[in-house]
Amino acid sequence: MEGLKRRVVVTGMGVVSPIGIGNPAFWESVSKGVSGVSLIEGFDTTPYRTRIAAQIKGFDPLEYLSPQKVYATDRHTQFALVATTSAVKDSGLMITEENKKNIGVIWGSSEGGIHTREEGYEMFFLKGPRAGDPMIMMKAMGVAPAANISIEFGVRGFNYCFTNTCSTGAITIGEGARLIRHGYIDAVI
Amino acid sequence: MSKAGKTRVVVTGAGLITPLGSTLADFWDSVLKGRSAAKRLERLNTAGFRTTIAATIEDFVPETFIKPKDIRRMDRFAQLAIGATSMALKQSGLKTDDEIKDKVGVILGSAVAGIISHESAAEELFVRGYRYVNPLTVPLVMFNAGASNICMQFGFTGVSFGIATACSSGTNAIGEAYLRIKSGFADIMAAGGSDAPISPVCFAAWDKLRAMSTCNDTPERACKPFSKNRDGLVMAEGAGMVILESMGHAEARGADIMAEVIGYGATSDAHHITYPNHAQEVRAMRMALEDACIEPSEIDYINAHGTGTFANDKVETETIKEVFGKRAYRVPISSTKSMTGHPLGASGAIELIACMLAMENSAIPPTINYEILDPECDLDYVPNEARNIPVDVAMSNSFGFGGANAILIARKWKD
Repeated sequence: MEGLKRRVVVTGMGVVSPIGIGNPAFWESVSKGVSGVSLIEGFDTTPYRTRIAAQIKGFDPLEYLSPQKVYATDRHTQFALVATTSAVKDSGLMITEENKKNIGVIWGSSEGGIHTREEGYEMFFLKGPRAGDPMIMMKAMGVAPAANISIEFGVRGFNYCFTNTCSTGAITIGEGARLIRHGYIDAVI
Repeated sequence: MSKAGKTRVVVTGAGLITPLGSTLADFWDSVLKGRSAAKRLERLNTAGFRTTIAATIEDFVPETFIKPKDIRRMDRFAQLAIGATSMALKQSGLKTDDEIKDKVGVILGSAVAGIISHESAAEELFVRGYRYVNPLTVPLVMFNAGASNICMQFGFTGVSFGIATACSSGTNAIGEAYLRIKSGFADIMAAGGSDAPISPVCFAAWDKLRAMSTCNDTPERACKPFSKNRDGLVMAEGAGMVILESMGHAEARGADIMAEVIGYGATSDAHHITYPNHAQEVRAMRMALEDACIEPSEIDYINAHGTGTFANDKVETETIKEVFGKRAYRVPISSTKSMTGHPLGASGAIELIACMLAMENSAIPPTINYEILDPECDLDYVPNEARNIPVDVAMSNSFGFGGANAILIARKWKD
């Protein structure tokens, strides 16, 4: 633990969750002890042991993103873009020619673009190899959220996808903090 | 990235499993002979596909490295990663006793991770129904399955996570492991990349992306990086792992050091999801040179990303020209992907190992299938034949979809 010891602070936050989109809505639900769990609506769960999950309802990506961007991204990237927009706004960070090279992105995901992947699989196995979306790999790849954040906000430090199933979010923030602390970069989303 | 700690970082072990060979000696022998690993793809039904060739590994026996009962708990990419790690550890001579185990961290890059298992599960679900889905699907498919299986196999209890930055995953994994040691945050890291992407939907998706060569009748001549008639990459599978240690740790235990990692640079294009970006590739390369505290004139060899796609090879050439100036025409550059094919997230790790083998053997791998000069790619790509010259400092380039650019620089170890 040698190296520089710069202190690292959080200046902005954004959340997209089953109990609220945006920090105030999320915190209100947390304070009131609201549960986000309900019956699964997205697919037929008849044969499944478990038929409940915490889904994000009322998320219309077109409220936040252009139709082109929505077409070109998986649902998890859309969450990432909306949460980042909110966090960047919250931080008051102005991204300029000057600082954009020193802002990196580390976006973790356990499952990546699983909606896109499974839709692609369904098309392939039921309709054959010619069916399906040619963009599937670009939408489903692990680094898609980080890449899209980098493109959307013009930030040009590294863009990483770290992945460690359920500790992914903690690893990304921990590694981001470490890279700032050791002086490799000034800001990390 | 040179601002923090000054701990020197060395490589004490390397292991790889590739379509060209699954020991360092076999791999290097094939590389020097300029052999292509591409062949007709027998493993998948490619009827109706544009591309029907790939570079596959046919001689990998997971039982060599993994207990039979554990094999079915791992996707092929994790099995390959364990094989490569096992050989890297053996070479490093690291005794993995209890004291060491707590110190070893693992970072494994993979672009598509457990995709074979994921596609099987999807086929079971969509074609046969819920009851047929393998109950082990989650641990087989998860992106960190490679890193966590390495930890379980060898008992490592340091940090472990996966990196998924498409085709630069392996380079980013080694780069981040290097930074951890350089900053004094770790003493020993096992890092590299592994991918087994030859799976029906994945291959179909790449086919639809039109990124792969369609020279189906002459597979061994299909991947033609930097040649004017290049028409795409050849998909491959593979794994490469290195053992990185702080110089102090390696010297204290009397380890044989292969090379020193002296520079790393990583940037993001913020530009386009597939098309490469010249300016940010340049910045990553300069960042690595600055980190290494060397001038471009000190680089003896560049192992190019060199996928054999029209866009990559053109933009990579422009990048090298901008960073190296007049020296761009004199520094030998080669694409080992011309022989190995493109094993996605494993490529950066395998190519750093190729750089170290070049140092050890004083020979530079060729770019095979180089046939026609492209005025936009007019540098010295070591065409078709290996070259016997000493290499002290080598640079390895990786540029991933999504705009992740990563550069590593290594120097030959001299006592």
